[in-house]
Amino acid sequence: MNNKYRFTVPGTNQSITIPIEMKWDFLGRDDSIEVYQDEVIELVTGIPDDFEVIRFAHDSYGTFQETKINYEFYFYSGNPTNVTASTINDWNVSYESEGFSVTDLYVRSKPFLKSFFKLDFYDTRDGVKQVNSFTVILPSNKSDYDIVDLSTYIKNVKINKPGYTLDYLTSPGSFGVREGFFYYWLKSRTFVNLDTFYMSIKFFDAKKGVYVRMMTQPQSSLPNKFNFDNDLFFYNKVVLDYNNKTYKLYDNLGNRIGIGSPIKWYEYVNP
Amino acid sequence: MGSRIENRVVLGSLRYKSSPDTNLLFQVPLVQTAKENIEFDRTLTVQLEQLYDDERQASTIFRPTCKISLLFDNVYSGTSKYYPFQSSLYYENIAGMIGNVCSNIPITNFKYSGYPQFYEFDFMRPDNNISGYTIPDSTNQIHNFFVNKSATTYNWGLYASYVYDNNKTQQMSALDIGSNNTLNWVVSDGIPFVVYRTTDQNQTVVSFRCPVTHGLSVGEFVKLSINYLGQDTFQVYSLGDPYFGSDEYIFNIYDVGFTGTTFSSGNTGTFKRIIDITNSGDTISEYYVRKHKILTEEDFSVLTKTGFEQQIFNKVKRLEKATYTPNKQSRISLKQGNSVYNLSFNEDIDIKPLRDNHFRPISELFFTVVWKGYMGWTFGLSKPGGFYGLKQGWEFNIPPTTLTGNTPSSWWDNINTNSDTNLPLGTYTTPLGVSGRPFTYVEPLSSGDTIDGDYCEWNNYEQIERVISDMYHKFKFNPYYFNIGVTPSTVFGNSAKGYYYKPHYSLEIKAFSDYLEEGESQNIVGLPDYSYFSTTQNKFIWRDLYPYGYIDTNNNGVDYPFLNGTHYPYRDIIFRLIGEGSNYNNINDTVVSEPTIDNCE
Repeated sequence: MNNKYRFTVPGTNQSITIPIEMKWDFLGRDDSIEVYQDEVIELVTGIPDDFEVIRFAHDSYGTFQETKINYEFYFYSGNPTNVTASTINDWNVSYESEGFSVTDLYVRSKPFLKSFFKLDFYDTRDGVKQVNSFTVILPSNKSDYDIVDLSTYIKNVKINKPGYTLDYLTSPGSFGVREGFFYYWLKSRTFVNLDTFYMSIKFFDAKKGVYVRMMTQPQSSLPNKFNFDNDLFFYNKVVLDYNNKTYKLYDNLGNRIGIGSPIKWYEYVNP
Repeated sequence: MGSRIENRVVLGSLRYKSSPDTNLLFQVPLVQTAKENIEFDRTLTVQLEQLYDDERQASTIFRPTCKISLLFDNVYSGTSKYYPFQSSLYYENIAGMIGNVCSNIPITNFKYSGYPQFYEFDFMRPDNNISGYTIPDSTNQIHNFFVNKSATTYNWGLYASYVYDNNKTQQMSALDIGSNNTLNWVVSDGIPFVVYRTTDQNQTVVSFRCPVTHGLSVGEFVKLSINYLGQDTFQVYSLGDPYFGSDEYIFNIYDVGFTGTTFSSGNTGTFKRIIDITNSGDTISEYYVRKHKILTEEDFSVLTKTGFEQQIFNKVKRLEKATYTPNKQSRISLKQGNSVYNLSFNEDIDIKPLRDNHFRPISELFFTVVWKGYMGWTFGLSKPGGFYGLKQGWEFNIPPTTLTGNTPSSWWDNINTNSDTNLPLGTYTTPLGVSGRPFTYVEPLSSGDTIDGDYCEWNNYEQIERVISDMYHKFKFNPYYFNIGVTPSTVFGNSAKGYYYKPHYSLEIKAFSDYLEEGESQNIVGLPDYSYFSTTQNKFIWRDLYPYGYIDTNNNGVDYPFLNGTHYPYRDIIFRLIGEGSNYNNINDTVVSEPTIDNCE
């Protein structure tokens, strides 16, 4: 604004009125306050976030677009005080190796029914700062089975074994379940933008009341049975595909797994 | 603001004696010494309920879900010479089949007859382990390798759609129940009728019998396609005849002594409804077939079983024994099922950019169900340049079979191109299939594809769309692989039987008011852009959109759950798959008891 006025000598007295009007300061002020008010309310109350989850299925593979995924869990049956001398044969796909009796399995005792595998999906392999994003439970009584003869009189009975065959659809009359086949994760990626997870598996043994940690290789195959890189042997990588609503699993070498061959997990035995 | 002291400029020579005149320069001090008073501090009470409602009204995102119950009577039995289909039937005449086995008749000479399994029509196929059909048998024979992830898309395509346009050129045809005559018209002509003369409460009237509900009220007017001495518009005098329910199908005009043949009994024509004869331009109805646009891809649908919920009807199943099955393997056979499903979609639907067939914000979404029949039991009859595919018609095209000589209406004839859906067919062959006779199925639809819908009436003055007749689809069996007929005409000819179903199921997502708004543009703030402008009355007409959660006294409105910033509309659907039913009462469903001696017992 110009506030310098110069008067030249006119010969008479002069009087001036200077109109100083300021409209710009008030125009739209109320509107601005309304907008600001909305912003403040939004800051205080938050905007609605989308916490809906969607279903991710195992991505197809092979000529016939198979989607089946197969887990096998090996429990340690060797001498727990002498793991250093263990061999691959000390790990078996059997609940008996974990301490369940044949009777437990046949009559489906409560400790057996209450046991389960817990698949935890972390945002990183780093055990110090990782966050468990979601969990999938595989109940022990939904696991695959063998048909065995328990005695002369008890024949052709189904005995569960620690393995799972998961798919979209199960064949009538054969084993296999849908539970655990689908992963459910956030539909919106606006506030948690994650599509890669690291899956770690534990088995809850309801008979002993303990968690048994599983690893991707038997300790017998490791040069140092107890001092190894956790990142490599406690996790499989899971990558979600938001376009197809599918997931793929990878081992620590980056190879896709679960495409026909079973994904094997072995009990980790503490020193 | 600024100095309130008045500045006075005095000539220099007048200030004191001998003072000289000088040029003066002074600065006006623009110093703000006053401040705008704050009239009041702003305080605002944030109410959770209000906030929720604000967010709800602003949201345009929808996640539609529904529960589908398939009501279906598996009525058509037939014979098949195709080994994989033979291996999967729910057999009839089992005693005869066992007799053939015992008589050492070669299996190749058997005439396997029975019903397709229920899951040939179900929304989710569980038959991923049928030897010789979905998995190879001992001789490595198979029809199709079963892909588990396609279990919910083998038989049906499930989509979300909305109405985006009108088809006013559809040629239509209906059977007049009274005269058994066929009425043909173009949909934009209105509603067809057959004239007959009668009396109504001792008053001679000219009656008009329609194959669909006419939608008229007494006192309204009809504009006929025929005229009497140049006059084609008449007032409705009364509705119906003495029979119950006829008022929806028959309207009468006062017989003032019409002469000539214009209103002779048996004459046919079409009419359009007019509400106000003094304003016929605005109040005349228009007629059309709705056109739907598909919003979702086939793979976006997520179909799951609804927990343990089942329909009220029991399953009909039995064990097919290895003794008489073609592949010598026993299996469980299912003729009737009772599953219930939940349908949702992987992708949300944003209705913001969508406008309906009258350029209004859309108020309805539709669950659209389209027969796919990938296993190849249906279609298959060839025509020049392709195959006869899925047919479409309307409810009035499914008259009682007693009127049509126990055969389907001619509307569904293969050669009637007016009933073609024109949905493209895919084909494939199998090693055991008949040479030159591929298996055919309806290709899946994609987002943006269009498909016809219901037969409707719209009146600008009322701003209401009325569904005159629901659309139906029909599919027929592939006679080369599954023969349900007795004579060639019923197998390969036009009159082959099939199944009907209704493809579109409305899901109301917003409600228009039951009152009509009108006004001149200069007097209205926020005039909806979808308003109808009446040139005769020089005013706008529209119906308000009710906010979400508001339901008026006539139960008009929607109140669906809202969370995650998204609406979750929901409805129950009873999906009926309807057969013509001529052999419905001839079901030979005897159960063979377990043999106690041997299989030839």
